[in-house]
Amino acid sequence: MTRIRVVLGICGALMMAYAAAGALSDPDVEPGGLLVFLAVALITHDLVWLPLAMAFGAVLTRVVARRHRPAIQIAALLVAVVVVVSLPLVLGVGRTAGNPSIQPLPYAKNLALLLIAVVGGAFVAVLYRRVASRAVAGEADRDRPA
Amino acid sequence: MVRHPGPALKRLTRWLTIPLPAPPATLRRGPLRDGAFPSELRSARLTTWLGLALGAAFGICFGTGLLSHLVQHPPAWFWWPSRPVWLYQVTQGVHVATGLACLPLLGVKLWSVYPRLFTWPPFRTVVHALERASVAVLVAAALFQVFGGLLNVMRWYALMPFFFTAGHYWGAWLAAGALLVHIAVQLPTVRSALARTPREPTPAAPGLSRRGLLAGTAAAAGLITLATVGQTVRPLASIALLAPRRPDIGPQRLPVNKTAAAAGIGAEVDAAYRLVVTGPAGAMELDLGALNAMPQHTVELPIACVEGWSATATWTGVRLRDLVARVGADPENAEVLVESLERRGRYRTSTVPPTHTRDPLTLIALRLNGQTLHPDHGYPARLIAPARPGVLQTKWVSHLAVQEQP
Repeated sequence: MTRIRVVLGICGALMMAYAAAGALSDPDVEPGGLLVFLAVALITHDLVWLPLAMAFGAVLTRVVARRHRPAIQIAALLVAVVVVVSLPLVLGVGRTAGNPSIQPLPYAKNLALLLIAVVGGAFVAVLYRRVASRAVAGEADRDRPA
Repeated sequence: MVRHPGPALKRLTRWLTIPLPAPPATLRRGPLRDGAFPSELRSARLTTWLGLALGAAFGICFGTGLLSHLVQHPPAWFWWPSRPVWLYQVTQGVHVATGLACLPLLGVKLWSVYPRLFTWPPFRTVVHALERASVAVLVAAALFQVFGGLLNVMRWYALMPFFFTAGHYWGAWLAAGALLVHIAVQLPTVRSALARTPREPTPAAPGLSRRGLLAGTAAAAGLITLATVGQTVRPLASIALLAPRRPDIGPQRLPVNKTAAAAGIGAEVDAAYRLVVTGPAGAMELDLGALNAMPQHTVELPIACVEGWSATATWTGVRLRDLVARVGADPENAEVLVESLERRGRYRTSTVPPTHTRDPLTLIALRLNGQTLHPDHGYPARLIAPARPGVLQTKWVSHLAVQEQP
């Protein structure tokens, strides 16, 4: 395994060096702009987005009962992903005057539909769990000797 | 092979692995504290599975992206077939769909290893510092590729202070290289995480389990795929709520990337239009009447955009090989430089290699879906060839320079 690791490591380092050399010698690349984007992406994700997402998750775990958490947490994940992907579409930043074939759909409405489906799905899952646990509790009550 | 490392190598190894002094313990605050991340869901096994899925997805994106780059900038050794006609449509469709599906995978993967960002002490040895630096490069490059790709597909260019295509290409090499280094470092952890048969302590039931989180991540990737892939898979177009394109929306039921107005092509081309064809036997000029008088052929071919959308349409026009033969070149072995009426623009010319020139499906198209080409689709004449990126299907063609290959 050591040999495989050494080969992988050397190949990886060579590829990274090739990327750096290629980016610096490519007249189409503005290295300054590229570095700014890399740094902003890293800082925004690690120091803004993830702490916010985790703080939201911490609030969820305090507010939501344990048995309902799976549905709510997965719904929150789906909502986050759908919102991130649809944000540029809803804001209409990519639309171009004179070319109606670019982003031609009613994205705000479509996002709302997706959110309703996800939140509705989570709500149904919570309701089902509640009804199922009550039924189990009811049976347990009936089975208890008087 | 060096069996007994020399004194210099020994000194280097010692320098790389000698423990570095730990920072004062008073600095260990906030997220650097022990137990600052209480989630019971994180585990080496969960991270390994997420990493494997993400690694496979990155591999697919790297391979298909590299192909797209080579098709557009072919080195001498590269060969790309003209059949099957849907080849580029599939490779690029898979590239964009996989890239979009990476979004939740990357998000959850980075969440699963987030506490490691606050490892204490921050650098144990020089090797440890280098390894952490390579992880920082990997994370930055991965975010750059996935979010840059998303912004490009959504055409949010203002947020990218660089030319996307070049940045995405070199970013791919950086991400792939950093990923290989990461695999080299983490291979023992991956092996032991996968080999472990006894179950790791899981969160007390009935909260979200690790398996549940994996299923949720897969569901998020699936939802994004279903909501967007209809831009290239026509049967799914009606449920593609977040697709930036619909294969059937646009002039003559086909999407457009660059309009005639954006390319600076006005109505004045109409009467004055001549297609100039140059080759070994000299040059000839053909007006629209002459082009229409040549044998016409109808083919079904997709337009496949680098942004991941594609749509199949019916094209009618003159075979490129017929035009090549008219200027005295062998259509079986000729390369054609196609030039547009566009004055400027990165894609105002394209080269048709012999494989595509000889293919009878390659046309200088005059009609689309039974109608004269719409100006936005390249009126008076455009190139349409099988298995090529849309940016190479030159519109408003003005000049064909034919060269026989040696």
